[in-house]
Amino acid sequence: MTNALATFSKKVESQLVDPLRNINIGRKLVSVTPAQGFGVSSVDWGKITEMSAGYVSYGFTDGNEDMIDVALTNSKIPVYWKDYKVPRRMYESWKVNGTDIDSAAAISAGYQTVSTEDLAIIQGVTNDGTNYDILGLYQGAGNDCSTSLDFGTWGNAIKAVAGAKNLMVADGVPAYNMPLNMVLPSTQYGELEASVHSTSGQLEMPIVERMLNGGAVFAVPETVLPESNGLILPTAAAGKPYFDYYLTQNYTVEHGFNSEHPDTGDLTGRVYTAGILRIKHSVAICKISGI
Amino acid sequence: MKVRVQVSHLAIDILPGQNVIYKQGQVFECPDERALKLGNSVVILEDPVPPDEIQPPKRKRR
Repeated sequence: MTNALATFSKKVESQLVDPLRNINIGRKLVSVTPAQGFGVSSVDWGKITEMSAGYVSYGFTDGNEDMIDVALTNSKIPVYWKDYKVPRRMYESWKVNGTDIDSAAAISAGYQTVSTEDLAIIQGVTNDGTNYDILGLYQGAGNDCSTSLDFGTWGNAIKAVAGAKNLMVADGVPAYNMPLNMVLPSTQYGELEASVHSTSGQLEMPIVERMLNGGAVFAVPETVLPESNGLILPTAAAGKPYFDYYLTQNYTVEHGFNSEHPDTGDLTGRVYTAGILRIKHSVAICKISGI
Repeated sequence: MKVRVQVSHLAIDILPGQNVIYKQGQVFECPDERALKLGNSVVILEDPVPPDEIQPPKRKRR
């Protein structure tokens, strides 16, 4: 019985992988560590609070030792999950005849789990909706370019990217020479996609993409990033020294029986994942607000 | 209202077209509506009492 359930879970899990990969944006923005194990419930990590300057000379001299100031932080690792039910007869029919599994409920639960994880990576984790226990990319950004640049007007997205890069460079982040990603709520993404110069007919999106040095523009739902707010940050590979996603459990599906009706009751299913965003150097992330 | 910058750098155009960059710890005057939209990029130093929460002065009993 247990083996059949485990096989059933693996089958559903295999059907979930591709749809979840397509909708997951948060994990595309950050470097993800290998899964560390569900039993890991907290993590210690260092936040760089000050970068020291380098030296130039024709020889090494004593007395120039400079420490990079690192603040140690300990964070509890949240779990993102969603439960659902599978009709018992569907499961029995899969067991007897190998009938295709209708994994719609599991995929739907998976979408909810991904959405919760995206929110945690991009905004943060909050219990009361106001105060953040764990800061996401937007709430933890170390720079803010708030210059009322409505993306509905041609040229404003170009100015916003230039403004954000300027702030990052001021903090020693080589924004002019590294691939960057831009994250926009769906409204502003739509405005940028449709932005055409009134006389030359030049599209704004390709110019913005060129300014991102090989990075991309991502659209996220406004439940994750509210309208008029955006983000500019290094790509996952380039941003690894600045932030990463400490994964403890990758997407997993499990199923069990209701003990009241062990032979006829529906199956209960659960999709879950666990991990935490670690921002080590916040100035590499720039908010763009008022767009 | 007065706000103190929390992030490393904040670029803001309080006057249209005039972009000013403030550094962490700097204090500046910002229109209320704009300050509230800045979220955790700033700390609001003056928290005005909303008009509906202002209590009328109590009268002395005779």
